Amino acid sequence: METTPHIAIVDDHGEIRELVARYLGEHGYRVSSADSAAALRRLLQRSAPDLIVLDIMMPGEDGLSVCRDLRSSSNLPIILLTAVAEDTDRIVGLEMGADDYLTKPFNPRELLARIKAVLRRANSLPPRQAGPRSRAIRFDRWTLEVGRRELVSEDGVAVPLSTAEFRLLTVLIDHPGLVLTRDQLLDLTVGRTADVYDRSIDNQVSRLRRKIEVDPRNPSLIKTHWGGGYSFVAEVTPA
Amino acid sequence: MTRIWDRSFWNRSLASQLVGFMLVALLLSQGLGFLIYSDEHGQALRETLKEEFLLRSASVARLLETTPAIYHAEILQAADTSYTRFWVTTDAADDVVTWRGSAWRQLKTPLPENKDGERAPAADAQQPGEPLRFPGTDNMIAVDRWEELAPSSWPLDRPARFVRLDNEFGAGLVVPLQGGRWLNAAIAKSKKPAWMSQSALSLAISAVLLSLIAVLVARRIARPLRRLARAAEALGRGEATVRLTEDGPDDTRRTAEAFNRMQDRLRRFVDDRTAMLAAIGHDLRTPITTLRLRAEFVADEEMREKILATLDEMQVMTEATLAFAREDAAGEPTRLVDLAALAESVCDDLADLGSDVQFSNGERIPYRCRPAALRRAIRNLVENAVRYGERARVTLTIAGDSIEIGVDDDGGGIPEAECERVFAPFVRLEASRSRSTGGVGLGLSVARTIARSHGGDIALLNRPGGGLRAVLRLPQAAAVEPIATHTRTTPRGQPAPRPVPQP
Repeated sequence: METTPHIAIVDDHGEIRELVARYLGEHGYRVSSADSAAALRRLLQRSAPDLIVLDIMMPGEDGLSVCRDLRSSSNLPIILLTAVAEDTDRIVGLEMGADDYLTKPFNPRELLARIKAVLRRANSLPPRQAGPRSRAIRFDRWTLEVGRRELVSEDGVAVPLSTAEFRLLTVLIDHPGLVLTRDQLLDLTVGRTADVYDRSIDNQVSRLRRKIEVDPRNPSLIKTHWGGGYSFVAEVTPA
Repeated sequence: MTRIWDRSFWNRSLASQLVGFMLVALLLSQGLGFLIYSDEHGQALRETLKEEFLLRSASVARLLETTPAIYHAEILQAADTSYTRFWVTTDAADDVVTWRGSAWRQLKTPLPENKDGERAPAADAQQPGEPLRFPGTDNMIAVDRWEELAPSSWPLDRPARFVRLDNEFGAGLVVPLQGGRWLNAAIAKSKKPAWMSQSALSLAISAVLLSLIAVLVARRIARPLRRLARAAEALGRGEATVRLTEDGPDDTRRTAEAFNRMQDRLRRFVDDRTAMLAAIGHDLRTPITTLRLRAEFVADEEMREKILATLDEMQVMTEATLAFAREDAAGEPTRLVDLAALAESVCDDLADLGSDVQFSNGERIPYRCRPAALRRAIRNLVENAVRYGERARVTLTIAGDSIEIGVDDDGGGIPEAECERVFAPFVRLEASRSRSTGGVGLGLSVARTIARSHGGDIALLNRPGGGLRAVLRLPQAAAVEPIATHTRTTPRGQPAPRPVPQP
């Protein structure tokens, strides 16, 4: 990366804000900080950060509302900091169009890894074609419940997905019809968290196929392309 | 009463106890009544019979004296009834015992058939032709001599001699007739049959009616009691309890009210504590985050890693506490989920994080449950297996009427005696504490709470070949065939046929 990336950190807790800023600064980022939604808006008028680290729980306007507001006007990458590892927070966060989220207390190194991953994606990968994700997405005979990380079959039985399967599926759904190389898929999925071991993309694809395909050996939803890559060929509609 | 009888039947049901008590009371009252009244009754009957017997004898005597002798045989025969006999002798029987013998002989002699087809009832006691014996010889006949009848009870002006034949209604009479002959009269009436059959019947009817009432009453009492027991059991397991309906008789209603109040207070108490726990866990997040950030600026690398390790431990503890608090305040709705996919996704997640976890794939099992809670329970078991037993092998099997999720590890197992204790909150075995493997001792406790709230349970057992096996058992009743919303729905475990691709 030629230019030093500019990160905006928004948190009402002064000490955390300060320490994150210092930590990211030591790792070669330019950091601006804001203690509220209003302060962030002022900051955005003055400068254009490459990524925002946004705390959800703030007095006044909360992080989720800021996130939704920003998403409606730009593709600026956002990493949410949530206080509780509750499903609801995750649901809403992803719905609001955040690129990633971390739960407090977070590991600063993990924050660093995710910032890197999100930035790389924002710079080098095909942009998501859909707008903010909807709560549920329908394809073939399945409905993907985003917040719960579950597929619901036509007969109403929920099929839980592992984190890796869910990430792969959402990446595929975000880029329907597009051939994604293994490297791109790796960046888009595993790249999100540094602590996930690198199971090969092929392995994950076959696991996912086993869950969603009628005949996993003769897949009709996730197609393999010779020379490297996979594409998602089912029609995707918000439910 | 033997112990087994005592425990297995007598104490088991309120109805049987009530029936027992009522029958005993019935028998006692009947028995006492019989003792008190039977004698009076018998006495009165005896007097009446005797009076009638005397009057009749007097009439016969008078009749015999006023009619020609040729009619005497017919008169005597006409006077005979099934329990009385009249005959005439020429000499007065002075010896009571001899006379009594001949009296019984007379009574035994059957009446001629044309007399209403009746036979002498006294014949019941002694077969004709058998050597004569007196009924109840051993205890009868207090007085073996003639009794001169008082003029007040005897209508004729000449004296008559009277004797009892037995202790019941048997009696004999000898009256002198004009012309030096004697009229002999004997009566013997069996009182048994009428008394026995009627009393026994009424006793049986009373017993049956009382038993029926007892059963009904007992069931009325037992039903709210059973409901209370079920509710208390559920409350003890920490389930979301249903409130008892506060109706019925005063005592029942008061009990239900008291139970509901207790339940409310308990819930409030637990809720307060849970909220406090959650608040503490929650509030600790900010300082831990701050410390983590600060630790990153510690120059001494060894020191930094140690601080981070301690912080990791603190974080695990707050997470566990929060999970515990959350599970207690569980409000997750029940949904239909594929249990196999759920267990598999937990295993895959942990395997992706570098743990040695294997899930042996089972068939699809649609199951009604609270998936997030169940996922946490399975994860706790698998994490324990990995932490203390190197690796986890997870199986999902249907065993009889339950579904078993087995988690095997390759560790040293735990002493048999500890297999229950480790489920108590905040209990950690000495071995794990000294190995500083982290955890606060809430994992199994949370997992068991979840399993029980699904109507199942968790058990730990040492495998014969070494290693520990945790079994999460769920009742299969909640496993259901998928709701058919579509004609394409196929049997469990079979993928639905492919839909026609949309253009």
